Amino acid sequence: MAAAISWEDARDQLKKWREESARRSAETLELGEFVLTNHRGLGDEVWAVHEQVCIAALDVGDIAEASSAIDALKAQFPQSKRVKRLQGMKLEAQGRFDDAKLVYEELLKEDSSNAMIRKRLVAIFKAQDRIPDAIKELMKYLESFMADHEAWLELSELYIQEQHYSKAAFCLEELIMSNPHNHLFHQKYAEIRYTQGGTESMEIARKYFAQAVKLNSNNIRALYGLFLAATHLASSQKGTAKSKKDNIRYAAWASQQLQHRYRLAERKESEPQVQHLEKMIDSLQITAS
Amino acid sequence: MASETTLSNRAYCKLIMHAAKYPHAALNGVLLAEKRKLKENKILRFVDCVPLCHLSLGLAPVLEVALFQIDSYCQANGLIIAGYYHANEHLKDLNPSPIALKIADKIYDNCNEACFFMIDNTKMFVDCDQCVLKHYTVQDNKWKPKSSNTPLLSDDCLSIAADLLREKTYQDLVDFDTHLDDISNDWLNPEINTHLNSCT
Amino acid sequence: MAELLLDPNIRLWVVLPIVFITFFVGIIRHYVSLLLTSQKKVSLQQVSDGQALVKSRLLRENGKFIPRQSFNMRKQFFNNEESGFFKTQKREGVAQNPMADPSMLTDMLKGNLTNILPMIVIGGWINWTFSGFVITKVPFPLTLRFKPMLQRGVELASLDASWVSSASWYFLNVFGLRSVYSLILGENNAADQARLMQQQMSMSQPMGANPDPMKAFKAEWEALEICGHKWALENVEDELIERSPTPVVPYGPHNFLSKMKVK
Repeated sequence: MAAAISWEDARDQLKKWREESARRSAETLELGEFVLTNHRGLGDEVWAVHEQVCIAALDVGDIAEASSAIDALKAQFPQSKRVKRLQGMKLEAQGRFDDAKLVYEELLKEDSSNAMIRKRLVAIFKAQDRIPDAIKELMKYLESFMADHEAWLELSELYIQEQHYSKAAFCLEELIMSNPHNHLFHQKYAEIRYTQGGTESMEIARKYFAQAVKLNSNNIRALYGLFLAATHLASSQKGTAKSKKDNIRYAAWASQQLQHRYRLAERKESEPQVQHLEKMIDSLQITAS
Repeated sequence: MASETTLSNRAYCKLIMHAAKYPHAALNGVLLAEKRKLKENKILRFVDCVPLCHLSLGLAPVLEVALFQIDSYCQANGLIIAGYYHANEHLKDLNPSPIALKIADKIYDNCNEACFFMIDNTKMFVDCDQCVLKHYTVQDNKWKPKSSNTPLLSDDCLSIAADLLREKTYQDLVDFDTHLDDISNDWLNPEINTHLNSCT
Repeated sequence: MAELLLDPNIRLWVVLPIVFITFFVGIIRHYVSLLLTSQKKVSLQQVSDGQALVKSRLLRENGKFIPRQSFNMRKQFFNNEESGFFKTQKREGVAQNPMADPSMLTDMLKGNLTNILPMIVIGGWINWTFSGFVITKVPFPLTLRFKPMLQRGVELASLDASWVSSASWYFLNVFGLRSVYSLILGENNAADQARLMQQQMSMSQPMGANPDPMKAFKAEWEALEICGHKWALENVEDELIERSPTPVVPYGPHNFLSKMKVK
């Protein structure tokens, strides 16, 4: 891959991934090594590339490559906390979690408001498969950094893993408030509520699936969710006749939207997937009526 | 209980490719068996595999949609959902998570010959020198690891899987999550199927 | 008017020296400022206060997107009479006068030291050494209005406006060399990146040097107290269906709606 593209393109690609913080470690490593063969052309950007390559190398387990990147950075910035953090991450990658923790705690003593390092502590617990501890650490972090959206998202994932759905829903509410126009947050919130079950949660799920579709009419997951939630509600014993009628209406609408989209996306050579969809709708409909 | 369990090359290779495409995430999928063989000869022969999720395994809607649709596909093609596989996010974690067990139970409700595989992440190598699956079956109403001497795979299966990983074919694999992101991606992976047919 | 002829020595001893001096002073200033910048320390408490305020503001603005129960729960967290965050948190009002804070004072001093001072000193020195020279000419005619800009220090009413005096040449260089610096020192040079990192760090605390947190808490408490909850998703399904009516399904054996009616 590296041989096929020019040095400038490789450099720009790396820069793009760095800005997006994309996790394409194997490719980053390959491109990074190639770009660093001509490090004069990078100017001061060379240090950022070193850091990027180092993290990618740690991700794929190439400790030697990471060490050489750290050495280069250390020679340039002997006092830097960012380099120390990389050293800590290297210890993590080697499985020496207690040593890594010592490094981070040392750093936190100097600067207690360093968010990146506190997140590493959470990562250590995660790497040790101690999810409840990771949750505790992350909550401690969120007490100080209440507006860190990524941390809320991570916490919700951890809660889902532990099947604490109501707590995960709380995290997603935070995210919805931070960015009410992101359909993905609405969709995910609805998915969590749907998984929780119960009439009330299901109604909320239906509303949020609908909101997600409203924000992005191409969100297939939300359309499916709207359909499933409405069907469930229609088939449940509770509820007035009117709400039942409404739910049937919503389900019908969602299913038609879905069929429409599948017809649009259908390709000639493949088996028409819409038939599976229709069968599914049919089978659910029997339970609904 | 089924007397014999085997995986076709297609089923195993898709499973491996799914795990290779998302090395950083927990993932799961279902295995489809031939209904007739299962009924008549009690042979659990998995002929295909449908990768399901790699994003949020703990959430119901995607799973429900996927299982409904796969079930409808199975009915049309004389297959049955009789197997489930799961890989944990953590490299060294081989224990079935509660979520995995829940889904496996659902599959078991669907077919009482069903079995369940955990992917051993530590055995995943590009060379595919050994089978990465840990086989679970229901014994006394509980999922128990099954130690069997009969091999799950055919002889050439591992070498084909290794070739596929080297070619990086796995980047084109579609699981249900990718399908929902863009419904023009077919979760049956017709391209990979033809590719696999040409390999064997 | 007779064409003016300039002594070539002026080019050698005035024009070029001014360019070099301004250029090297710029480089030196860059590195001195690198040496002198002190990292802004933000205490954990400040960050956390700032973030709590952001969260409360978000709750007020976007609370309508979450269910009522969740909204009330969060409002209670901040505003509960006994245990609310804004009621229980006590902060000492730090004296926020910048003149009283020694670290802020040194920061200001350093800023002056690296920016204003060299400008005055070098500018003054150049004015003093090279005063009174007409040193170059811009190759296009200019109107009289440009005279004070280009001919600082040369008060000749009859001189054509396109001639440039030495003092003005210096200022032209100071401002014109900026892009040259970014070329030589790199667009994303180490200093820039350090600054970027700092901005990111303090972005999480948008108030910057936050004035008295107690006052901010009080104001936020009041604002939140009068903020009610009106769920934005009350009728979302109907709005959705109205907005995008059912597409016409062109063909297909299953028409969901017709079946529903039969049943």
